[in-house]
Amino acid sequence: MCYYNSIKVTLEEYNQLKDLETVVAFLNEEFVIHKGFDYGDYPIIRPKGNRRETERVKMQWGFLPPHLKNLEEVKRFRNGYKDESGRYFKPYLTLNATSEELLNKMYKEAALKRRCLIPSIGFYEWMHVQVVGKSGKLLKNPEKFPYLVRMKDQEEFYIAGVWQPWFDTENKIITNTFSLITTAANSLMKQIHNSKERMPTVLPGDLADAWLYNDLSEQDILDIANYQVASHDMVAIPLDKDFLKKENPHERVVYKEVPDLVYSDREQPGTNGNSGLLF
Amino acid sequence: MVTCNPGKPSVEFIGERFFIEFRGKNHSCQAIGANGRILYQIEFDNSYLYITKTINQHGIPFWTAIPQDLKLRHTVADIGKQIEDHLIQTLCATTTASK
Repeated sequence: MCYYNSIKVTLEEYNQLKDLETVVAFLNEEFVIHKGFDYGDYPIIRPKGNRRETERVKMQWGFLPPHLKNLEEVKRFRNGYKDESGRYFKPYLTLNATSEELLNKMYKEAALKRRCLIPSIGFYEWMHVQVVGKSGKLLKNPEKFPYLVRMKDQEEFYIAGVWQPWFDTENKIITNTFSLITTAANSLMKQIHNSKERMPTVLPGDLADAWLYNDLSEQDILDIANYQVASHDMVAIPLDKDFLKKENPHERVVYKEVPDLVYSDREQPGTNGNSGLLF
Repeated sequence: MVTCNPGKPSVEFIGERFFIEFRGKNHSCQAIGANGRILYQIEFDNSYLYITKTINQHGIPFWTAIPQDLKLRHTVADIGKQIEDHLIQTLCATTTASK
């Protein structure tokens, strides 16, 4: 016996109505910009049951390991804290999981058993540029210039991810959480994300399929997680520094302080050379 | 840190927008095909209500909001009736024109 809230419907009908809830959630989410540090819900794709099908479900962005027992521990985990003796414990940033350490520590089980894809139409990174101040000298802190990065021939693309159900033992609630995998930057992203030289692991169709469904060895997982999309398959658009407040956040702007981007034609997609290394 | 835009949902907008009157105001309404079913999207001051027709285990059809909100059941029933009236009128007009 099943219910759609208090009105009894058949199990089949109930499942269809629940699927429609997902559709509606996505319709309302269209073109919403998600900021990682909001730790909000984000639509992700995961395998559905044992069949070769997928489902889009919302999960909280920011992987939470199962050893955390309650929301207070989550807060400490994400923000850092001092214990009674004054010893400081640094925060864990789990919005992104680096490909090289995916099989290390907290992500290993998820990488082996719970892989997912994060659908996206674009991501944002900031170029750090040393600029000359009014005094004619270089300013101490670099200025940050935002870029929208999209795929040249794909409106929607997929980023590799891992997910983890987290159980709040106080409130008895399960929250599914995920982390987005990053790999070493290609030549374009090295110019844009020049402070960290990382980029999301954007997967082509065949690798996205393998990431979701295949029974992958540890080496296969590392190889796919380290995949680098080629620079010439990307398009980077410089944005207004306050683009999040703009009516059209994706309007291209020109900065005279920022060097022109160079797109390499010769670069081949593939792994970043760190495959299998843990550090 | 990466900030992302999710992709568009894979749904199909069916037919043209039409208007229904509810409590003295016109509201735009759009049929949407999703997962082999029809949803109706009704605009209320820049936010949307989604409704569909379903059937209970006794075979009795009823309109429901997606996600279901029991506080809205009378509103949803009214709007559903309006949509049905609109469809009947439109289909009858089409049939007459065809003749």
